[in-house]
Amino acid sequence: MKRLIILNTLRKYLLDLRLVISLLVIIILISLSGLYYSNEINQRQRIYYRLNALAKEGYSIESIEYVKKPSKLVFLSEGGEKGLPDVFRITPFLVEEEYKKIDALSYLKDIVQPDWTFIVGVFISLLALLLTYSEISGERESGILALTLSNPVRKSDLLLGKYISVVVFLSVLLVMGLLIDVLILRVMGNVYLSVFDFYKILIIFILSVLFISLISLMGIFCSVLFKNSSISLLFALLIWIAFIFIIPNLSFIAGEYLKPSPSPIVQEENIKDARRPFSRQLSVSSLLLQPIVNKPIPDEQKQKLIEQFQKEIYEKHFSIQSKMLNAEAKVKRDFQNKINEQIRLKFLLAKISPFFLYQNLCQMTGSTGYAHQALLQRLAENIREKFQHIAFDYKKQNLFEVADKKQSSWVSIGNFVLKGLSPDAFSDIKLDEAQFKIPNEPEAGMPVNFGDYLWGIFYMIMLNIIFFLISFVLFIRYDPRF
Amino acid sequence: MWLIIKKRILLNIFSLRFIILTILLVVCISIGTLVLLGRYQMEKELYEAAEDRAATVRYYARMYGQLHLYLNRPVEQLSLISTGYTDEFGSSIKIPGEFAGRMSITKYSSHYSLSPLFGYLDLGKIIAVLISFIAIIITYDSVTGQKENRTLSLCFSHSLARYKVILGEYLGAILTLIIPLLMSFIILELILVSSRKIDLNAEDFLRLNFSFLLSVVFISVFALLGVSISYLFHSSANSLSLLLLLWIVLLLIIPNFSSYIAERYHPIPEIEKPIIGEGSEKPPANLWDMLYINEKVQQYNVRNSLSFLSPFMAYQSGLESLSNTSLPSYLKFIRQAQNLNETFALWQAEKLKTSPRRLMYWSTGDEPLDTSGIPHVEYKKSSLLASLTESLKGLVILISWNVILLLLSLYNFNRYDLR
Repeated sequence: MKRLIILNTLRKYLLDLRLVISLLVIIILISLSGLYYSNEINQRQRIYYRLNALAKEGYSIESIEYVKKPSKLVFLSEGGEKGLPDVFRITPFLVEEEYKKIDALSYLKDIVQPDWTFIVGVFISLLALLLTYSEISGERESGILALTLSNPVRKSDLLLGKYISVVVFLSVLLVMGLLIDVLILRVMGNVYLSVFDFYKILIIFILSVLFISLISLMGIFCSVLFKNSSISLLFALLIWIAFIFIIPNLSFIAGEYLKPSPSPIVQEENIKDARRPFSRQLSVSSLLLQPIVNKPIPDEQKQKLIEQFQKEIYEKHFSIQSKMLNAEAKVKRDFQNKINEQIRLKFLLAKISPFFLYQNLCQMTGSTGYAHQALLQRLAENIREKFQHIAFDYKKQNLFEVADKKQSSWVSIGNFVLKGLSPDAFSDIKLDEAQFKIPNEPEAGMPVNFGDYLWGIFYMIMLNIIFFLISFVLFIRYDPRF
Repeated sequence: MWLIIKKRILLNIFSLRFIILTILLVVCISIGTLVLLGRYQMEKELYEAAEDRAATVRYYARMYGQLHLYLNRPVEQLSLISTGYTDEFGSSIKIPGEFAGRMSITKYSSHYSLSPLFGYLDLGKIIAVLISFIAIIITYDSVTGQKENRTLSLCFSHSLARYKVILGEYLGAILTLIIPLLMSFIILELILVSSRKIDLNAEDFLRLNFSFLLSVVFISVFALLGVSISYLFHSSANSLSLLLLLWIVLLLIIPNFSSYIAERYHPIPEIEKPIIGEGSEKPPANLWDMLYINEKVQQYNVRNSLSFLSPFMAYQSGLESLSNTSLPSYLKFIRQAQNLNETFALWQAEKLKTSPRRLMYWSTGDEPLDTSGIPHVEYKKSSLLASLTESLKGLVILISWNVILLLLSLYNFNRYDLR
């Protein structure tokens, strides 16, 4: 009996002109998105290779640059990659994020990336609502429901049959869409996907089915809740608008309100404040030189004493400079942490909406967006710790040779000269790739915040179950008479 | 005809969908206003911090080569209605004069430019999205619904001109839609008046009321769209599906598509950040930031020239002009900074004639720097009249949408089969 209901519903869908037109529209949208991304992925790869080559040339003992590798799965979930920094500049004390893809800066604000999650989240979910809002209430209005239930059909079978047929119908659409997308990328853009990418695509497919099933269940829920199908449609649309527009946008401004974004102007002052106690200690004064010059000993001995003293000053300056950079780095790290905390709060609030949650999970799977940025921040921090040791050892060993060559602040009395350590003494020294090798970004792997990821999937499944159970309970007490 | 209008208004007002959507709109507007007011307050504090920095720099300067000014743009009070472009480019410009490096622009606050689907939210966007949705929901079955329950042919059995029916339906829809719109503007103004965080003057209220008028023209487009699509189909479910599709196309697809075209048509050339004093190709005292902004502005101009394609874009640009956050007003701000830079350089040159020693040198015994006659730094807001003329473009686009849709629906409805 259940099979009959499923087949019947599916046939009804296929014969409906509206649905066929919507299917065509969606297929066209997916193809256009595929065309857009086949160009985009190649362009991003090109920028990456160029930047990476440039970065490798510029390795020095003061800073190295680490370029973010673009994900090929960006066509599934773009995740605002263009709004995120793509280069990590690693200095011994700090990791700084920078924007280097100047040609990609050409993107305009508010632009939506036409990726897979956008098409599924906006169009296919709307289709799912339009398919389901009148499943029960519409049949009640036309009197079919009473007729169906006069047969030996269990109510659970009827509800389950409707649900399964919608999900099967839309899953076929999703599979078709994914195939078209991958095919267009392969043919038009020569984008080769690895086996891991296909695993990820499979996971994204499962996530999409979960999301679509949730939306269909909400449609069924509305249609059971209200006797009138136009009111049920209204409620379904309200839920849809709340998911897509109201919850994510409101939680983004609420996040900005609860955790204010740090100000670059205040930051400038903070950095100056952090440097101030050290910058005075870095000057060399003639008062240091005077006692040695005044000593009643021959000039040669004075020269030797001064040389020794000079070494002491270099070492002292070196340690003060390190302390100063460390203090500055702490201020800058706090700034970055504030930005990160704000984003985390925004995302946490916005994830109440299944649409945003779905996008976020897809980004985690496809290594794009902020989730991936956080992973790279941690990776860059690890690299920095290693780099700090290497740079420190090198500087310690070569301190006196390098310091003598560079111009720096100095004082003189007669022929005797005392110099200070220049802050950019080491900036010209190149670092070979052999000396320090940067580990490659993990090509494939599970997302970092594995806990978050599992929680997200769990939340999605739980919402599915809850909505199914509620509509089931409501339907059991449902009065099929018109 | 008045009977039809009255009937339509009463039917709409007492329908459940209208009441629910109106409550939703009012709730969203109140929450949005409160939250955005908090944000405005924070931005204002950051603006004051920027002013403090400018004062500090002036106070501690001992040499003419070190002295520089800052032109800070105050946070627009009506940026609640429309955020505009300041968030993208920055609002504090360093005026270096001849010696202190290059002109550069900083933002008051910094964050990743990650945004959800509709970009950064402001009250204009909430109103645009929700009220157009309400317009669609209350008009989609205005003709087909009557046909489905057979009242339409009954209606025409009286001696009634067809254009009167369509006009009546349209005017009824508009008059209903004005109620939630008026409610949201009244709530918005009440919150703004009672809040201590913001003090609006008469001009701001005039701007707000002009925004209200613009919104009325905007909703009229969607009411007409709903009425005219409503009789293209024989079932109201079909007309709703098409209307929703059109709504998404106008709201999301066309603005994004025109941005995409703008990116392709006017790509930003690669401009490397110049390093000061490096090699012979030293950049002029002004700068990478300005070049970049110029390119970006041209790109936005390409996009805005396509705004006739979607009433949402026209409405948005009109609101931007009315709340003084539009692109032209931003360009005026930059031009002010450039003019200030020139006068400041002249002033520096004059001062250096009398005391050339103070360019890059000072000793502890010196007197403080003579800053008499230094150019006055003040941001000049563009006048109400200028904003109004700026917003005319959006208004004209919206009115022509109205006229075209009205003519189309009148022409088509005369050939409509009532059975």
